[in-house]
Amino acid sequence: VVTILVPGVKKDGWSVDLSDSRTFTQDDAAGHLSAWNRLKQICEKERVYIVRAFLTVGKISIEIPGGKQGYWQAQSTFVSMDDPVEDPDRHWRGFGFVDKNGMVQIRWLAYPQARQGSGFTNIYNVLDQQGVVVAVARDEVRLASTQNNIIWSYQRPVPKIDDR
Amino acid sequence: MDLARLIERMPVMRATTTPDFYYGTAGSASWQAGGSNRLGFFNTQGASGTAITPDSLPVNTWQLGTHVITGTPGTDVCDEPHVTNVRYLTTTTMSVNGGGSETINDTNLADNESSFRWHFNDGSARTIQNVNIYVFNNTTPATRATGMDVAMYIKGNSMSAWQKVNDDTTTGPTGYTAGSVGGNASGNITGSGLDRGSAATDQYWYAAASISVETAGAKSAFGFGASLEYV
Repeated sequence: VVTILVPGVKKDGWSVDLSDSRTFTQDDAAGHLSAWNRLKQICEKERVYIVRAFLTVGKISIEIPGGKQGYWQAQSTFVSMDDPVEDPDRHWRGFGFVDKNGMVQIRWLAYPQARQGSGFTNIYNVLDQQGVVVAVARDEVRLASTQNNIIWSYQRPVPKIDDR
Repeated sequence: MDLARLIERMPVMRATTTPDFYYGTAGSASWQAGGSNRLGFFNTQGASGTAITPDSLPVNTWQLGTHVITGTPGTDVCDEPHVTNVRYLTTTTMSVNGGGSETINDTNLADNESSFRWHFNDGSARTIQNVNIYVFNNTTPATRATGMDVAMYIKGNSMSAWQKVNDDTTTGPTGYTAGSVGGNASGNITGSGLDRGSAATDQYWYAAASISVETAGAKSAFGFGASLEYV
């Protein structure tokens, strides 16, 4: 996943720019469909698609490459009976895109304390410009055809050329 | 107060995935949040209406009682009725509350007979994917529980048998003598049947669990765990 690190200036979560110039942020609200599922409905109904995306955790944001076939987003957590409430050391935010081979390239971000006890072996540090660890990350690849949470890019049909 | 400051003061919504237990007091049973209580496995189920005194399981014997307890073991708080005891008999059969052998499947195991259910809750309506249900040492997800043999069955996941989710050592009842099984990547239960494609603020997974101990004494390095992705 090619990303550009920029100082995090937004609330934790994702934000996307759509092909019709609108910007959507992760505004999950009680009593409503989750923001990603609402965005998915909008994109399918209005035939617009994501052209740019950011994922923010704490002090950093990563930019997800634009112009892809589809985009993937989820949050993950793990719990036990003794510790059932999600907290920063067990909460990961993932954002990905569908590559030309039909795979979803996912980058997961979390606060630094999520490294301990997660069980993941592929975690690496994300540093700010001063070299301070501001987040941890891990990368994952999945088969796109098995994922139901992808917002696919709507491609406008190429107009037929009337060559009569 | 400006808007930014107002947003900062708004409570952060956090998703929870908690255990619920089906039991009652004074004859009225319902699903109740586990809260600070725990699920305990003992050698006695007891009569409805009478709390049991938690007792020890004999080694290499599947449990005869399942109870909501206040500690390790603390006291029994499910009394009328108790949590249903679902006991492993063979890889494909169970005994519900001491009854005769039944095939374990989604029909024979009623929701309310489950040992517990995992309950995901969030303020927003979510779809759920990539669910992983497992037993671990209650500290590190990848590490199996110590001194325990555990079988689980999750409804709605096209299972046709108990799944061995923990088998610590070569000591154990029939079928549980291989050892080295348990944690979130060994013996764990996954599958598309655990996905929840319809968005909702509350999502549930119904689980039966049966326990055998490999050594005498209370087991503290043992816990039920789950991970999931929500969208």
